[in-house]
Amino acid sequence: MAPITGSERTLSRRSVLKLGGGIGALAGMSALLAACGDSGASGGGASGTITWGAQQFFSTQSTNKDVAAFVKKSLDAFEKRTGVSVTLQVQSSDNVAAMARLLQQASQGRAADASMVDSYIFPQFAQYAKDITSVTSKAGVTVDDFFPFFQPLVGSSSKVTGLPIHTDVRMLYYRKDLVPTPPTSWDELVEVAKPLAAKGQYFLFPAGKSEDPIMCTIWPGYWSQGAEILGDSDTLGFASGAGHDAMLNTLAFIKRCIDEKITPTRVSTFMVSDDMLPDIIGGRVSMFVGGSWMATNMEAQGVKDVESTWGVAPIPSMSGTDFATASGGWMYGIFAKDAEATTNAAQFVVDTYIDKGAMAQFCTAAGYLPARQSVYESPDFKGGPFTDGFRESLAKYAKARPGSPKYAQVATAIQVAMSSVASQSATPEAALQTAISTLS
Amino acid sequence: MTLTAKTVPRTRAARANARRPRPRRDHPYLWLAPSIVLLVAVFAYPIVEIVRLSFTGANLVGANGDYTLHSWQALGAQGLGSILGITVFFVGLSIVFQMLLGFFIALMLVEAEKRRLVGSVVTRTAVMTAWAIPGVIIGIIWRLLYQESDSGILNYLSSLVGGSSNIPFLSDPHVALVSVTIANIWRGTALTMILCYAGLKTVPNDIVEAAHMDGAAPFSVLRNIILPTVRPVLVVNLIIVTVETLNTFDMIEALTAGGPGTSTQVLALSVYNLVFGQQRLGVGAAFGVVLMLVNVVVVVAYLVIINRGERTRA
Repeated sequence: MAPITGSERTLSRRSVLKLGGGIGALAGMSALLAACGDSGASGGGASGTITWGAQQFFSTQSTNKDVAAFVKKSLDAFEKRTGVSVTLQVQSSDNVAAMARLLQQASQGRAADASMVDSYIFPQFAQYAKDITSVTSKAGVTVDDFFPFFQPLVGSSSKVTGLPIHTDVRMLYYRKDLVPTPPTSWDELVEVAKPLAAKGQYFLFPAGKSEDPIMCTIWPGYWSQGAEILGDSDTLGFASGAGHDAMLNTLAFIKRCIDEKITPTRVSTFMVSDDMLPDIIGGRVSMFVGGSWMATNMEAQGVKDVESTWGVAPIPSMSGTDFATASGGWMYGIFAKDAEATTNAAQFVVDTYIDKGAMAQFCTAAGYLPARQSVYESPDFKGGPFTDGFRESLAKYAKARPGSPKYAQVATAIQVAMSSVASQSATPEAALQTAISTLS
Repeated sequence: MTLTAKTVPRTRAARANARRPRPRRDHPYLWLAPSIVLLVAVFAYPIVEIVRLSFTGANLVGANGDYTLHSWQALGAQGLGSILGITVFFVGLSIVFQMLLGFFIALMLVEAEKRRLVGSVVTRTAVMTAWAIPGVIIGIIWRLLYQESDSGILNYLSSLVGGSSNIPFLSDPHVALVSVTIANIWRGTALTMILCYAGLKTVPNDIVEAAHMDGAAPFSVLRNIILPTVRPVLVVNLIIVTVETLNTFDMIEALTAGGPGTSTQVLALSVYNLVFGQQRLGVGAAFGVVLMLVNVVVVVAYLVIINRGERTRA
């Protein structure tokens, strides 16, 4: 074949092929980049298909066989009944990164149609979450059935935007044989713990630089003094006045526990409640503050007779009254683009996790506490040994962390302050001052 | 007489060729274009974007994106000075010991192979395994080792030899930084060993043997023959180890999360915490720019020092 001739230059077949190949490669690269940018994008555009973003444990790929089996059964039933196909997108196990990414996707309209969100951060997603009142009211789900601290996250009777699927609560666990009556105040706690610590049985709480420790160790004590984390317009609750005193008291109590040697400094390395397990298993603990999942995990780790050996009580407060505790849990938001996908995604979540029977079965399989109060009465729900105590604390004393974006900064600053005091590298006054300076 | 370009008489045809426009296939930009596009998309754009973001108060969802110096002004309040100090300690100690240990292990392995000692392959594989393990897993492994009670492996071993069973590996701020650095040295030594091992394999055996026959002491052979031969490898190694250590955060996040307090908070971990934990893209980007500048300054400093050394020797 003769070369293609231009007016001045000659283009051979090879040149044309190279040019074409180059353009093709560039087009391919652009398509690849576009595809990368769209990964995790909503699949709600296609009718009859919805995307489902979930943490692995809560999905059909759960490491808990009972959870996986229940969710799979519910998913299959939903797909068969509605003809809607559900595509699972497992979220990263790095919760912090997963939530940050999801928030970015939701703000750009790219989040999975039904996405799991950590409840404390849900208020930041609320503006992107769709109104699903029509689905929840049809299923008989009412806002006031959820625990009080969850209700603002669910929405209102006229506009439901969030669906909590389970909850947790922080409590004082105590050895019944060593502590016949659980302490209610900080003074009482120190008095009870001192002789036990002298025998090598300590009072533990997590005080590492992480979120669970401040939910166990800081917020309950701080809230019990009537203080708030953030005030109007996101003003810092502990920058001055009564809030400042409340935070100082809370940090000073940590120091007191260390100074009185009822708590070892190694608590400053505990990032989650579970980090106390080696000490609990080793019989070196008389009391500890931990999450509601600890009872299940203690049994799983081989602690014998958990129910008969251990008891739970509200976390002692400074005054011995006005208890408070911190709660959280995972919930779902619906971020689909069109009405049909919104309804389908909401229906799938309600059928699998929110409906009374479904929540009862899911929480029983997972060993979790239901987010709806009425589910505790369901014959399908089988709780653990301390479920009644947990339920009472959830209803009476539980509070949720503020949903403001500012909370993340506050939490980091307080984590640093708490672990500094627990490791004896700063006094409560200095640690609090550093936290306030960082935040101002 | 040798013929040079100047002395070769240019023929008429050659002159005609020189005047003719070069064929399209000879234009370098066509060949470079894909690489340039890729470099701009993957490297240049993100760098420009990070620098831009550092001059905004942006958060993760793009709000507060107005230009401001607030993110840079906030660096002091976020403890930049202390973080830089911790980073210098962590990186400096890591580099020195990784290089020394990696080189020493590689030297031992090469010698073991020469002497056909049993177990050299197993040793090489074992050391390389440390390199293949993800940072988060290494963090978890070392958390188990450092556990501060009778359940902790190192504390238990210490008690067996009559030492304390309650060494505060991670709860004492000063000890924690050393503990984290040791874990990082363990992790990074493998890479140095691999690179040094490859370098040592290029040292000519006949020269080393000749030196031995001439009565050269082992240290003299090391200093005058082996080290000059593997110098280029060591230089590359030094740059890689420095950059890698400066950017380490996954292992520290799993091991201490930067605590207790901020005693193990390095620059890279601060970037991660600010961007993902606190969703402060602007301040996180400012920290990211500082990290990038530190990387650039260190690498350029190495190259300048090395080039100066080369010129001095020449």
